[in-house]
Amino acid sequence: MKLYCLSGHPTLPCNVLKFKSTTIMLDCGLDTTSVLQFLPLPLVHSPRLSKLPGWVSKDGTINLEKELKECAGRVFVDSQPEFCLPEKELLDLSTIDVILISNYHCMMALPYITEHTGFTGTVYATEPTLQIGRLLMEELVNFMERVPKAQSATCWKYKEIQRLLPGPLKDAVEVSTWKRCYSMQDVNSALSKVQLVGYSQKVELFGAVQVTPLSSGYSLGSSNWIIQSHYEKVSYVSGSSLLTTHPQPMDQSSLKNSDVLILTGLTQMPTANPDGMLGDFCSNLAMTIRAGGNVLVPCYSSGVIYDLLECLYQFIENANLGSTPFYFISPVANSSLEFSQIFAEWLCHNKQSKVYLPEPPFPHAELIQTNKLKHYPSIHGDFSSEFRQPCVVFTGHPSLRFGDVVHFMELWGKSSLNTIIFTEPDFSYLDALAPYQPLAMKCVYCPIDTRLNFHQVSKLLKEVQPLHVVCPEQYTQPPPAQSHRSDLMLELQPPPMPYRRCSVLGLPFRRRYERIQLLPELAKSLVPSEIKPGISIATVSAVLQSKDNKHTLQPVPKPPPLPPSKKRKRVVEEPPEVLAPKPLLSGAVPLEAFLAMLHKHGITEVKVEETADGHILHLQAEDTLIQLEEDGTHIVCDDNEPLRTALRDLVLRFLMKL
Amino acid sequence: MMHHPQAFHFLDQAGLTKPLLQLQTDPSLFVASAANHLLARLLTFKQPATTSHTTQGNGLTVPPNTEEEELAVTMATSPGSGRSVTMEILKHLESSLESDSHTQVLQGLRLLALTLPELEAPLWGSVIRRVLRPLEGLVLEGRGGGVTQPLMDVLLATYRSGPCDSRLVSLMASMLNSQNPSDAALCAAATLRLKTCPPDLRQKAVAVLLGPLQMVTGITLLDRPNDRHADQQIDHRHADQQIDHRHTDQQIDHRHADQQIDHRHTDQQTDQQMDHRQTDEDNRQTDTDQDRQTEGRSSLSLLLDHLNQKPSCISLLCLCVSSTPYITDMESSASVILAVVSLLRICNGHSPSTESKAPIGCSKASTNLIGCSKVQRCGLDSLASLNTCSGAVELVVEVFHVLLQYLQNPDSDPTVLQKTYQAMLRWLSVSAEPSSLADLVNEDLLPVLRKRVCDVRWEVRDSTLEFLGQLCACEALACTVTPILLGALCDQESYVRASAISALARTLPLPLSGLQGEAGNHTQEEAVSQLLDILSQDSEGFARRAVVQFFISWLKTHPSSSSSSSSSSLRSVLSLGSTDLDWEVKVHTLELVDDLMEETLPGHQETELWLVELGVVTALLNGLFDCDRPVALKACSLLLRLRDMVCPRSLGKGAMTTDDATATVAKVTFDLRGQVWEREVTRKLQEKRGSDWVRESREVGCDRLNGNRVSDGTDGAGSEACDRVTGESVCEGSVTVCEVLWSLGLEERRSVLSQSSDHVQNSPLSLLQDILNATHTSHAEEVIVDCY
Repeated sequence: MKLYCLSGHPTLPCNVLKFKSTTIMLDCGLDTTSVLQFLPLPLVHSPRLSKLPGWVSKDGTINLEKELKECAGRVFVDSQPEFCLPEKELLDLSTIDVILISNYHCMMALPYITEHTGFTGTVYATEPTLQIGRLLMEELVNFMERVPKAQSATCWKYKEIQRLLPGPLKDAVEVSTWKRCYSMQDVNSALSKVQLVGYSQKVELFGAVQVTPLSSGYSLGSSNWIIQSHYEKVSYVSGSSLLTTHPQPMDQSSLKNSDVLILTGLTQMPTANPDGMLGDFCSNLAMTIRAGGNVLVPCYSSGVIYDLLECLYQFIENANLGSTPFYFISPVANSSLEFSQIFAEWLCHNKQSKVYLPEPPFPHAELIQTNKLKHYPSIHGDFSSEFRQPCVVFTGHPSLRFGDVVHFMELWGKSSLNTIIFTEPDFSYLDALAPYQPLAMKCVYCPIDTRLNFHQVSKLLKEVQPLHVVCPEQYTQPPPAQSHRSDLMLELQPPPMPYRRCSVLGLPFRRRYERIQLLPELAKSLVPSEIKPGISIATVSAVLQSKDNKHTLQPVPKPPPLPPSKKRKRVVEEPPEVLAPKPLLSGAVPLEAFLAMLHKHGITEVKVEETADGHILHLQAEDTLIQLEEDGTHIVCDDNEPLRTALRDLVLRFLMKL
Repeated sequence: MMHHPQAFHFLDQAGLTKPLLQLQTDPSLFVASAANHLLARLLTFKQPATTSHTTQGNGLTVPPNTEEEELAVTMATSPGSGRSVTMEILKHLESSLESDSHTQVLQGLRLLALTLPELEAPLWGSVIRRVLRPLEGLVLEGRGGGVTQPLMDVLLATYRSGPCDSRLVSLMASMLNSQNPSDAALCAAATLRLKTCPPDLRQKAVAVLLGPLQMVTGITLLDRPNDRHADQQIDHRHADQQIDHRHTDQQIDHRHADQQIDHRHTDQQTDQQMDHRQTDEDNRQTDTDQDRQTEGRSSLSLLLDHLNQKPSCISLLCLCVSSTPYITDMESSASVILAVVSLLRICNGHSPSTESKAPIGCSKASTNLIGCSKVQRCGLDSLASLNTCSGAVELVVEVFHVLLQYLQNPDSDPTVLQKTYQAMLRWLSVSAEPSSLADLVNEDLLPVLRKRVCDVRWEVRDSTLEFLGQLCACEALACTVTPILLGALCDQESYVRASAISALARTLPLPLSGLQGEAGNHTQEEAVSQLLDILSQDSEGFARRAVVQFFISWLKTHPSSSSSSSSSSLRSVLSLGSTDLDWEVKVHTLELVDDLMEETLPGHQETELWLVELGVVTALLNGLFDCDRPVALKACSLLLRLRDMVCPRSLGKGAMTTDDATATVAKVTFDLRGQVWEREVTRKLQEKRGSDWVRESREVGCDRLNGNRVSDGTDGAGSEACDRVTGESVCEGSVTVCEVLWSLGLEERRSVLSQSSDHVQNSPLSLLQDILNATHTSHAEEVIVDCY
């Protein structure tokens, strides 16, 4: 059993598990942090961005004025943003049989894997994962295609040149494999390969293994996966949460008794407690609005935003913000808000029960109804006519490189009354803000990451007791910024097996058993005999049939009835004679008793030699050797058949026949 | 019953002591505790009688045999004196302290702790003499496990109640040597709280308490070379280096050994190293000394074990850190403050100290502490009381930084924030030159306070506003803070509104320097009108009470505020406040009236206008006829004062004087129409006037009033009749104040009102009423609960 690790990002994993005869890809997360190296894509022409100076190396030898621009001491690539894909060279992607998706954030690389690679397998995901994943992909494509960029920068990627570049660009990894965003066509084609599954549904893969999604509590339809054969169980835990937010709670008990547990997607903000952050978010928001400023919340169009809106729903009354408008701007804003209300079966119990009243499970329905929350596909169109300030705007993309958020950054960045509140933990806020410097706007970092923290995960692992744990190497040491926090790492016995990008791990357990079925007819014919109290054995003669990774013992086919015609001469080749099986022997030959027996039969000159496995008896007069070993007895004599038979019978006296 | 000698004799004669002693170990805690109390009472009851039989003195000096004999003699001769009871109890006490049963020991100790403070010299001495040996047994033979707290209680009670004894001190010292760090710390904390304490013992206690702090924070607190803990500290430094070293080894090997085993292992190694080093250094060291060293080190590893487990770590550190305010007299009090600051940093997840490069004492322990609000609260409490000790001034900035961290941490518990504010206030007063902190306050503190005012949790908003109010009192921040406070007046939570109002009241004495004349006035007018809205509309009593109190302090700070706007707002407060539904609001309103009278009455020119136009009289009368006794009582006494000041007795009788001022006062009239108490006052007036025509008209008047009530003045005939007969002063609603004041029978009223409501509660009548009520209700269960 082997694990190929194609992504080094702990929360956007992409691993391939080879288990029995199957090749299973676990998630295909897309590392979008690469876009931070690029200049933002403004929706309307931005004089500031277009006037940025090009970059020329200090000695003037390298001139990349067209490709690289300088802003506030940092260099950015002026091109359409590109993403860092999962590793493609480690393994032939066309050999992948299935892809298991755990949540919609972890499937953004799907089109890169399934399209143009020869992939012919199936993708398994839950319905909300598919639908919301589609929304996020659509949004991404829309953001990119809305602002087409004529040129595409490639020169900076040459290794010799990249080495000489300043700052973070120099240290960017695998730049040659960075790719532009996929097209809508790719998205549709990739998503057409998805087969929907429900929680606890057992899916057979070629009869070899069974995969089952379990609720993971992180987002709508998010799942952990169990991959098991009859005797082995591998759990894949990715992006789980024990907090009571909107999704169905995490199913922990089914993870018990795993041989291997692959652990990914822990919280990226181990020191930030989501509750505290949510409180901080609200108070910063209220403070800004009260002072007459606007609040900008860069966020994904699904996920935490539902919780933010729910929290604000309760808070705005308290804080006297009832008259402040809230805007949600995204190409998929409407679908996202609507979808959340219809996936009732994937919600937590509290919200589920509301549906029976019937009431919308999320309170944002009421916010929309009372006109407190308004959503628009983009800043163009209706929004511009209804826009009132001060207000709160939720919009993407959290990297601040594309999407409507770019416009608001340009619009509000100059006033210190306004505040930008980061809630998504995926991007470093300082890096995200870098191309907008100098910035007067207040910045607040309230990363809300509901995924398991180290305390919760160690409790979980204590409970489910996996034999081995595999995790990204980042989890085996404290975060670099807080090296004194030994509580922010996994401490396990035995220690977890760390992986990094491009690792290939041999998982430390061996398959020892395979289940074989007995057909009823065969079972009927067996005659067990008891050899110990409670243990009976029977000899089986059968034909082993292996098909589709299933093994069955079938009765031996009877020889075909003799042809009725006796005219023909008997064929020379007779059908193989089915002989009655020889009886099986068991037991051991006791040395003393055997020597006595030999003596009785006239063999007196016996030299006994002790060996590692038993004894060698040298019958000197007969020049014969008898090797008595634990699992066999050999009689070596020269062409003296009567003697051999006599000796054999003597040995057999001590053994039991079955 | 034990207040009566007869009861004592009864117990004595009926031989009830034995069963009582048995009940001491009753499985029911209530029974056992009651038995213990009764026994303690028995022991202390007959004390004075015994003095005549024993030698005077502290009792310890008496040779044991003499007293035994004496007691025996007394027992035989005077069976009624209670000697036998005392002896029996004492014998039982002694045997139970020597017993193997945990419960018996525990109960014996509890009895002793109850009794000792009450005992007087001779008996005290004999008790001590009897129990000292078994106590020594408990402490020295280590049988005291699990009873440390009661044992220490007994020792402390002994120490406090009698003369100092060396055996006692050595007992306490050996308690401090306890192998269990929690027990030792418990004893040390108790020792430190003693008023007088031998310096050696105190030093030992300090060492016990600072040891864990030093270990966790890595700040050197104990540096005396010959001290056991100093050795520990060296040890622990070594151990740390060792751990670090091993840690890197682990990283290279990719092997992970169990942390705990690792610790122990390194301890042993270090022990060996230490022994080696020490023998090299000092060959004269005796064996016993080495034994002591090893013992010290084993207690160090015990302490480490203790700190590695979360519950024991937290309770131990809470104890240690709460005791730090008692350790401020030592030279290194600055480092104690640093240690507390460092501990608070650790609790917040920061590395312990920014300055000192000291290694983290015990990484597992600091993991236990992260986010622990219990330790945070204890630490902040201690930090608050450490502000007075020497060296505090130099550390102000350091302390402020950690407090700011707490305020900025979004995960801080509301109770922790509250403590942070308290500590912040205490330390604000420490700073020698306020200007050095001004930047800190303006640039760091105010922004975070602004944010906290918008917090999701109302508790946080509440304590922040309270703090802002207190901050205003010591800093000239009013102009920045007032708008924040005004914004908080519309909070959803009534407690928060109330706190905002109280904080506003605290800003009153400050000149609004930041706001230029009119702007300032404008803000204040706005505030006042907002407050009046709250008083009239708020649904919660807390906010309304706060409003009235705001005006009380307003009156105090703006004594000469006789401008029209201020008097109109005062009028509104009085009329709204005196008719409020909440009795506390009403009482506060009367306090406001009190202050008004205090300020204005003596020699005021326009008393009359003032009395009536501001509505003082109406407010007082509203109070007088209120159904809440405290309100009525307060109003009554105020009215009495008013009457004595404004209307001298002669006026009450209708006689005119020559004094102009008084004369004008006498003529002051007010309108009582439409008031709730109109009928009552009218009746009183009529009674007072007592003349025939009044008596004649009473029926008519009453008719009129009844008519008024029923048909609201439709009975015109009655009204007219009233006018005709009773004269203008009553029926037109205008009466003179003095007349009313004299007619109300205030003295009588006051005497009735000042009887507490208990006289009804405790009377059999009340019980009877309850029973009668009970029979009328159908809810049998409720009745049973009520009766219980």
